Amino acid sequence: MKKIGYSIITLAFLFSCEEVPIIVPDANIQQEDTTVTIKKVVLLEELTGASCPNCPAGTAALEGIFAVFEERVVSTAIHGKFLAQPTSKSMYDFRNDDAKDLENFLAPFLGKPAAAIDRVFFEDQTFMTVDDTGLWQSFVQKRLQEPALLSIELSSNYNESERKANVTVNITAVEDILGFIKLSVIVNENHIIDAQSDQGEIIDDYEHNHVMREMLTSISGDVLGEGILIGDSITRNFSYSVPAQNGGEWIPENMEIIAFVTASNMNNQVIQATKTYLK
Amino acid sequence: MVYLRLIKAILGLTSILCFLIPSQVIAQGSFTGGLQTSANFFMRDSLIGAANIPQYDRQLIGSQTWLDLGYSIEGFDLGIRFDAFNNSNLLNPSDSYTDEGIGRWHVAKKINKFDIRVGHIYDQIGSGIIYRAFEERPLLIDNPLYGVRLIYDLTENWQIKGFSGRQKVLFSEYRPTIKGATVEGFVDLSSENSVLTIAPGIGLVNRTIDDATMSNIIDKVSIYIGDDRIVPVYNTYAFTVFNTMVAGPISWFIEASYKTAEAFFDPSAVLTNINGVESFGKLVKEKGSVIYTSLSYAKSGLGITLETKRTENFDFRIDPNLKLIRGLVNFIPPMNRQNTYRLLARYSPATQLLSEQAFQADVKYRWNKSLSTNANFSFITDLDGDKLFQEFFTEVYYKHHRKWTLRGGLQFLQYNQEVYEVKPEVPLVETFVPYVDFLYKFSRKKSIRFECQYMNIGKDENADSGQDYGDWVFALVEYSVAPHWSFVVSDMYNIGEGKNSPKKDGVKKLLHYPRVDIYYTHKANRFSLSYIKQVEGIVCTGGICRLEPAFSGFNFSATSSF
Repeated sequence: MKKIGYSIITLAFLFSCEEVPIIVPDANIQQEDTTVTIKKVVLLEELTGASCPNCPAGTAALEGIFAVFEERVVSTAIHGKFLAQPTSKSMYDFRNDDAKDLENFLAPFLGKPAAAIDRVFFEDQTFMTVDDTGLWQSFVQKRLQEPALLSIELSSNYNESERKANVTVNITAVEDILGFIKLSVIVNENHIIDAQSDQGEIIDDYEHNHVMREMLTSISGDVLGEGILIGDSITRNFSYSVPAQNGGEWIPENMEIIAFVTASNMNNQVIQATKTYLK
Repeated sequence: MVYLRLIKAILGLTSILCFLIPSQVIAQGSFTGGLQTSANFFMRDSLIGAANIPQYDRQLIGSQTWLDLGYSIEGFDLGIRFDAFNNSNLLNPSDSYTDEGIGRWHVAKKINKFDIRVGHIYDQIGSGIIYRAFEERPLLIDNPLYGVRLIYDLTENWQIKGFSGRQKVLFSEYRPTIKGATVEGFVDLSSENSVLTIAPGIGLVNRTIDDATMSNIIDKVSIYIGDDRIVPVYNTYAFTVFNTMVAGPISWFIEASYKTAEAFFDPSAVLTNINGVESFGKLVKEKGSVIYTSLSYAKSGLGITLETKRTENFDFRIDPNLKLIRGLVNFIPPMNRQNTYRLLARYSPATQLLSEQAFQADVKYRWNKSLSTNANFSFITDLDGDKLFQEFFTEVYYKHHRKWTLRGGLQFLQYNQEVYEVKPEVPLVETFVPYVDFLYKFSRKKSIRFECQYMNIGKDENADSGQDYGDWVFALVEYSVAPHWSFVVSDMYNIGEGKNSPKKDGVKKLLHYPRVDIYYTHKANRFSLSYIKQVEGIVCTGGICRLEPAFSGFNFSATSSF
């Protein structure tokens, strides 16, 4: 019995040590470098859906990121296939073919919400799409520390009578970039009030923002060329017709356009992004 | 990582050489093994939801294979397993996974009172509440400890055990480390007139988070504000005390477990974001506890089992950033009947790790050689008293000589779909399932079995239709020619419209989900070929569950042991 008693006492002591407490820092928000004229803007492609009960948590995390980084982040909310069907109380259906194709393009993902952040495959993550919303802000922060390799000028000229916008994108290289350069342009709509599944309930008057409406380029982006040298510029024009207003959706004042550039020699990561309003 | 896998492969090959060379030289050992393989051919059926994953879109075939080899000689126990996944949907039912390599190996030797084991080690402490390393292939859970385990026999009936290592994940390991120890024993207090034994034990487990994993936790916590802010810890300790007492026909098991405060994800906790917006789900830091007890009586054809369990904040994972069924360090026993019939098993409750109070009673009585009965009742709530699950099950089994058997009964069930499947604004699913299973033997070799179940489901007032998928009927006919062949034809038909019944052109469709199986067994080899159309549902093994999407296609399976 002595042996047994000694064994139990030994085990009790083995696990009784204290550790030095961790000091949790405040979020590492770095000060703006005022000497840099062209700043890196991060793209966050949010995989979401009206019938996704956890997605409001993702959207809340995204809104928190906007509150911290403001115009240094642009996003699109992709209502593709998974959990994107309208709820029993929905008035609108946010799904469209481009959103479904883009969701497939960004797959795989374990579940929703998930987000591709500059299409970077972060260390420790199973997929490029990050399903842990708590990590989004720190990954955005990491990407913001990257230098801007090019600038994007994005403008929209909206014709009220035709409900048509002419979109011009001009990119200028700040550094030499090798490999295929691709441009993607997406039209989003904000401030759509409609139902959203949220845990065990459906919120009737949820405000949906950055809802992806259409992709003006191909899903993987339009090739601008193979390599671009410092100082070189490339311009592309697009046009977009806004469908007829349907209640609280398809309102030009609420629409925005985002443009971003990927580079093949950087694992097709997003190297720069920007946003403007349609009207 | 590449080096690690290379080393594993070399170890694997070395082990195989260890098997083969001595077998020719001394031919004294015992060589065993087993193969399990399964391949799916995916046939898109958008109507039932069998679509939009790579296998349906372009890959068409997915498979998974395990080959186990074991060799024992002169007190040495050697084992190795080769795993191969080829466009498999087992890891994530909505995605494709491809990889292959040495899935497990171990070397063990007992030297007098000292037992040494290194490699991948499956084990558990008590009933598994603070630690269980196990494999559940249907869910691709395979989380042995990759490390060392030492056991020393203190006396004939008492032993002390210690282990240390990291948890395996696929062909790698998670970075945090696990250490643990137990002292377990057996005491016989029986007298001439009565049997009384006890088997007490204590166990301790420590998980230490590595710096990179902690960095991810701190990244999350650093954006929390106000009361949401927590201070995570590197070390978490879990303690357990357990005992099994047997007194004549009565057996009583009790286990009480405690876990020190650590950070874990609580999906229902409210997080206030930096802009003031509130959302569900955040890391919290709380202590955890589980108490579980089981009392059973068995005598003269009567068997009674009573169980109860209380769980509070016991989500114990190797990495708090992991979710669903990934990275579980422990296993909390389920508190409901493990049903096997198709419709009876359709709504199974996943064990709740953060808040659960459960009770189960099971009574079996064998009236005579031909007739036996079984009744089971389980009741599960959260710690606030909200009902999660309730099942009342009855069964009568009658055996008429050796000619035919009849099994039948009723199941009444309530299932909180809002909690278990996170479906919003759904009522408590209520079902009533009568079932019958009839087996008739034409001869010693030939038999036919007929199975039929009907599920009547409650009404969803909000949707003005049946709950979930509505009412079902299931029928199965199995013709067996022993010992080689078995042919099974079944159909599950959505007989009554439900809220989630598939729609085509805006109209709900009542669909058939047929299945045809052919089984061939030859000695220790078994093969099956199946055509399957299967509705979305919950797949559970031992209280661990996940939502499986619908399936449409063919399946080929083979198992072999030698």
